[in-house]
Amino acid sequence: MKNILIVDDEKSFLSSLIFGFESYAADFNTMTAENGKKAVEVMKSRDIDLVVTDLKMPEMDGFELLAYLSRNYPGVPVIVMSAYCTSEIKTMLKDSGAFTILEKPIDFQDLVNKIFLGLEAVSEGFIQGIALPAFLQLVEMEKKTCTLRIESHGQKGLLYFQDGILIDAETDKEQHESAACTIGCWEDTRIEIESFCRKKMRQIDKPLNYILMEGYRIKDEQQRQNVARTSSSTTVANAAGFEDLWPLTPGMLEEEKPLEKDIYEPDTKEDKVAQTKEILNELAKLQGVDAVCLVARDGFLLDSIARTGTDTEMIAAIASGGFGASEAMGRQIEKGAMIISMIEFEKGPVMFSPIGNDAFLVIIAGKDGNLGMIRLKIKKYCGELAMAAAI
Amino acid sequence: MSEGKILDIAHISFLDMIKIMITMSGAASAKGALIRNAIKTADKIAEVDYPTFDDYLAAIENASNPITMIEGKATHSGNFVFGLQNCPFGPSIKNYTQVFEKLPEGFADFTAEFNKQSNITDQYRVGEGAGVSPFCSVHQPMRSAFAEKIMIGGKKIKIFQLGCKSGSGKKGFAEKWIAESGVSRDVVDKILDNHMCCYYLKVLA
Repeated sequence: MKNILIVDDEKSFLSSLIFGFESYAADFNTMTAENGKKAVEVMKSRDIDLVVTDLKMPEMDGFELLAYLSRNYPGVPVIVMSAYCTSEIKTMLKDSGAFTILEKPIDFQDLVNKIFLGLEAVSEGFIQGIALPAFLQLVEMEKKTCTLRIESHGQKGLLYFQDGILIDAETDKEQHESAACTIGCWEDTRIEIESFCRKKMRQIDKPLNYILMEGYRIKDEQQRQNVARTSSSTTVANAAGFEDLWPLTPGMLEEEKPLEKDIYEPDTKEDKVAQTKEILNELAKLQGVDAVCLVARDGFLLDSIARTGTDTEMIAAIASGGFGASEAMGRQIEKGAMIISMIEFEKGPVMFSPIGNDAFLVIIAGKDGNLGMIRLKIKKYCGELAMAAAI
Repeated sequence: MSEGKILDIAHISFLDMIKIMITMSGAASAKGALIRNAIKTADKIAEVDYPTFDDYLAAIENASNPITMIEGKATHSGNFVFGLQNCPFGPSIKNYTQVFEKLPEGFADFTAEFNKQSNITDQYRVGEGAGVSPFCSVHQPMRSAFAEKIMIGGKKIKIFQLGCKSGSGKKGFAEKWIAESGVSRDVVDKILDNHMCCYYLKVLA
């Protein structure tokens, strides 16, 4: 029999859950704790298969509990209940593979479904602990003030949050923004949390999402350089060596590993076409993506993957004006080079991103599109696409 | 009493609109829009098949050739190389510069953009140095697109833009298309001495 632990300081809420879960007594046992401290005691005394926790609690809050669980019980899935959960944040956290987030007030049936999914994931070995980026996004979302001590493979770093805003960061070697970018990419992290911020001066003026994406970009570049160096010094990189050079970034799924072709620049036109198609396929596989078009800056379509019936030629022509207008706006207001332009429609967003000097990418997504992941992937692949799509 | 200078508003608007397009969405996008529009114009004409190359030339002389209808009479200089005496945009440019002295800003960037290698200019064998003004990005692809509606003896034809000359006399050469067509650069240069535009017609096998 599986055991689940519900952690919340609202006794009436706990009582109603226990009452509701009686119908599922044959599937799991329910235990409760009124704060993080009590939850830790339960965790130490019983084998818990899944934790459902609120974030705002006295004594030891949900963040401290999450940090504790990530250090001591990385295989236990967690369902977080929050009153500040927007649909975009939910989507962003969804792919972290770390925990599920439920918006308060809780829909009981939704909670039951999530519990069963979580327990199933454990039995199938899918849960891999709480990923740091997801944890940081939760801190931001809940406007938490705290200091986070992060450890990963002997490296140590500190992140300072004031009302959910990342104000400063440091590691042994780096300070401020660069330190934050570095820490955000660490894997197999051990998280400790203090519920006050040890710094007062804001040294980082970029949003957390930017920091995380920038971190991945820098990491990607470093890995690419390592690969290039290795490629030039060895004749053939064996499979194991390749895997070592391309570790998965936190929260990425197995299928999102960089393409093996990334290790060399395509030489022939056929290679370029094949690699372009492969990358577009990767992007098209992302949740909620309806169409991916690679367009020359003059608005003529270079390649695309889209649902049947989509007029990608026309989309390319129209997008050229939108993309050009976005760039012109950047020049006009002196904001520098464009990174991504997004238009949000009733039924989902359209994103434009420059690819080298000659082309740009158009991604059309539905309402369920995972914008955070799409942005990350655009950043990840724009270098390869620029090479492959060079006219 | 003299009426003084009268502007052709259609010409003025077109030239100024190109400038606005460049400002609003960049030279690349503006170039793409003009080329797309020029190519689309060819959809409006009917296909024609001339029994022989001489019949094709005769259609130029009697101004019934679709290409002649858009750009005026071209001169065949031999070996399928043609020269065009007058640029079809000459009157527009003259009309504009008579009043405003110089063409709108941004035209040089636009022309450079047209001469850059791109899939669409490759497809229609234009640009690549043969652009001397933004109007070339309309004229050259339009001529190539019109050529796709023309056959000679049941065989398709292709146009290769070889060179062009600006109103100030500066010549532009499309080295890529000169090499691909096999026409000597000297021949192109000589034709441009007396013409504004030079192209090669290839009858496909």
